[in-house]
Amino acid sequence: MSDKIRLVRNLILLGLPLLAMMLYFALKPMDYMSLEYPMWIEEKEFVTGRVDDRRDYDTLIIGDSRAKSSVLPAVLDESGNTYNMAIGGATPIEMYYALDRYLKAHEAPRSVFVIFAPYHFYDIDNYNQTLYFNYLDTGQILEVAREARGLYGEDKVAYKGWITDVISYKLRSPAKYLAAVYEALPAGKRAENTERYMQVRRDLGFTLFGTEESNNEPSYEVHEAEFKSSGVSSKYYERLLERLQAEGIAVTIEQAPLNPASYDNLRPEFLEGYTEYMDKIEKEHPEFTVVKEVPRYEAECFGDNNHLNRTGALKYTAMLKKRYF
Amino acid sequence: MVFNSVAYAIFFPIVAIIYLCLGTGAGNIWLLVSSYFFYMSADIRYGAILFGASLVTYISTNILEKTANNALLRKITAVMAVSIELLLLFFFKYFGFFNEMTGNYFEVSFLLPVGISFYVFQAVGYIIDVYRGDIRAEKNFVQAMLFTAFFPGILSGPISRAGELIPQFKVKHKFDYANVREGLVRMGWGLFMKLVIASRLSIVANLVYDNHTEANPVQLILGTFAYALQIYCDFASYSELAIGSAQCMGFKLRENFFQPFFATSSAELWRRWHMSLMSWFKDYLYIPLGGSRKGRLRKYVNILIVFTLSGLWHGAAWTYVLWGFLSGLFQVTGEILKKYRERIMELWPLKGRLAGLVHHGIKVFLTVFFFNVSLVFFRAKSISQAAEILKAVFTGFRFSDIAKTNVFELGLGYINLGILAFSLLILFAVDLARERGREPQKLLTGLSPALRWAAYYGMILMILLSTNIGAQRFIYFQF
Repeated sequence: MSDKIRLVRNLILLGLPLLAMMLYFALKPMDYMSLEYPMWIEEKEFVTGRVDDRRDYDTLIIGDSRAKSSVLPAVLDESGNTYNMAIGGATPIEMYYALDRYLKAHEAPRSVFVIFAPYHFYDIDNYNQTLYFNYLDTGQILEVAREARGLYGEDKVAYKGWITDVISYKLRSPAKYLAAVYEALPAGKRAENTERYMQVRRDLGFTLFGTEESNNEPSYEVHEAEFKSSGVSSKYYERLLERLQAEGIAVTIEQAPLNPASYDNLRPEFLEGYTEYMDKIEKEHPEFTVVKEVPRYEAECFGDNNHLNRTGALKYTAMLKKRYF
Repeated sequence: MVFNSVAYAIFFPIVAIIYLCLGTGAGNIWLLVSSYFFYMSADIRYGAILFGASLVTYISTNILEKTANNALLRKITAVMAVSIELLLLFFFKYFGFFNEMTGNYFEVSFLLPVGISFYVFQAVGYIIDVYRGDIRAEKNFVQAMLFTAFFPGILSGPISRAGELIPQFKVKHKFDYANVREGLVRMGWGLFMKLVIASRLSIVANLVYDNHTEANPVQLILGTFAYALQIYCDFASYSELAIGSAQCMGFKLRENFFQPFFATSSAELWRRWHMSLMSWFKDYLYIPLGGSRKGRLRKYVNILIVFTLSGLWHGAAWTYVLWGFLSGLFQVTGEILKKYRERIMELWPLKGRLAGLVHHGIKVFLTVFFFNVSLVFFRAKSISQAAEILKAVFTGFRFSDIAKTNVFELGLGYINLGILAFSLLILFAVDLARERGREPQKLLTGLSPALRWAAYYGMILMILLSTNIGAQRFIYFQF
């Protein structure tokens, strides 16, 4: 055997286990991914129509974790024609592409509720997770980087080394995923991830984040001196609204509740800035229903400092039902 | 582009395979283009500075070559060329430092190109070698430019000598299985040292130094010791990756580390630590200053000058200067005390192997101890922080603190601490083998195939499990 062939053979032998790992990471993500993952994959399968019970819905809920944990579709709409396609950790970026995917695979819904936490208009805190979960296609990721050029928040989506990160995630590089497998040892996470997936599917996209019976700790927004609306997130929010408008969908922009510690301690400049931003949205889209007031719910309605518990979700959904259904 | 990145994992095999397929001329052009691509991937502006430094070197060395009979012109050329190189270094690295000393008189700041301290020193060494007539100037433009830009060593060394590296560009390097295998193993070992060991140690060192006012003296000692090991593994790993990368393509770069923590004196430690830099200082500064030829006092002064400047080379801050000065001071003190130590040994000679071992162990301990003391200045953010840490350790240390200190509170959980302990054992075994003249790569290839492959897979697995832990950036990049 020549030396060159020997080297190639040895490199292949060295690489084979890596290749096997990469295949495993790509094919069995439910075995090792965190408990957030089933929610993301459930939503991706729902919007792309890759589910057994694929059908069109009259009403969709779009937003982040606050929307996900605040609206119970089965309670809001007893006919079962409402689906909560919000995702925990999502910003308008992910939701814009989710809507795009949904519209490509389904008839446009009659109405959509858009609910984002104010901090998601200025902070993209989880984009790396979006990449890690391989939620966006390569083309979409490149588009995000292009759209972000020169905007506030560009460093969060097109940070130093993002291209190699994207390649690593797309190829399911062991350097990125092996640690998760290691953490999932010895039993693996398939059982709990599957259970979470089934629960989200059963509850038409709804899921809880906080598990406490009561919480009165300040939310993210309390730490902000002022509201900054400019940036990648806002750009995608506006793209999302334009798309909804172009499709002729009835849009309702709602606000998720805050607990007393959060509501009472919000800086006036922050609240003022947020209201101004919502005023601007209302002016640009007069046909939308824009609710600007953030509800103040008692601590017993919160499962953690940012999210409602079941009691809170039932109360909020009942309020929406009364108002819109 | 850094060695521990996906980008390098794609870049390196492409460059190496194409280089090995090409002849000398095209191969060198390919290496030069690849080296500039490698260097400019961090910031495109870096390329202009590197090109400028290389061009000055090329022109000046060729003028020196052509004016062999005109001593004055040669001297002027050499002085001017070295001054230009050092001015480049001054402006880009030290301007801010000196500007700050003058109360920020100038309202400008300069970009700090990574690796500038390394390639400027390499270029200066080359100019001086040609000036002295030790080597001839390289007329081939590509080879001369490649000498300063050669990608394996451009960011953090080893600092090569023209007499060693340029002749290698003239040889057609063919694929050599043993070279490639050994090079890859060295690269693997480098990644292991960096990602598995140094990154975990960085967590301990950072936690202690970032919270030094709350840490007890034992934690401060552990944090400093962790930093000493971290910086060794960090920098030695870079050298392993550089040497291994070059070796795969058939090049031999200078060794940079030789088990520094097995040294029995400060002088010996510095002969084993960052060897390419220390030998540069010896050849181009210490010996021209008179070395040890002009009396004992002058020798000590020369040592202090060399080490203080070596501190300044590491960074434009007083902490580095003081670290360098202290390193020199410990070496001078060791030299002064040497005759007394020898006298004591004559009066009370050690008998038996155990006594010899204990004596050896004490010498190693003291060497490492003083190295750690100086390193506090290297790691600290300011002289006052270093002083606070040293004061806390030397005045506040109680043996009872040892029992009170929980190693699991130093930022690493049980598993990571276990991995670290196991990895340090491997490091010790490898260094011990090297110390005894055995090359670990050769020991590895001597194992049965099953064991050898198990070692390879084990190493890869541990590296992959460590890619998101602690500090991933190489410390010496900032120098």
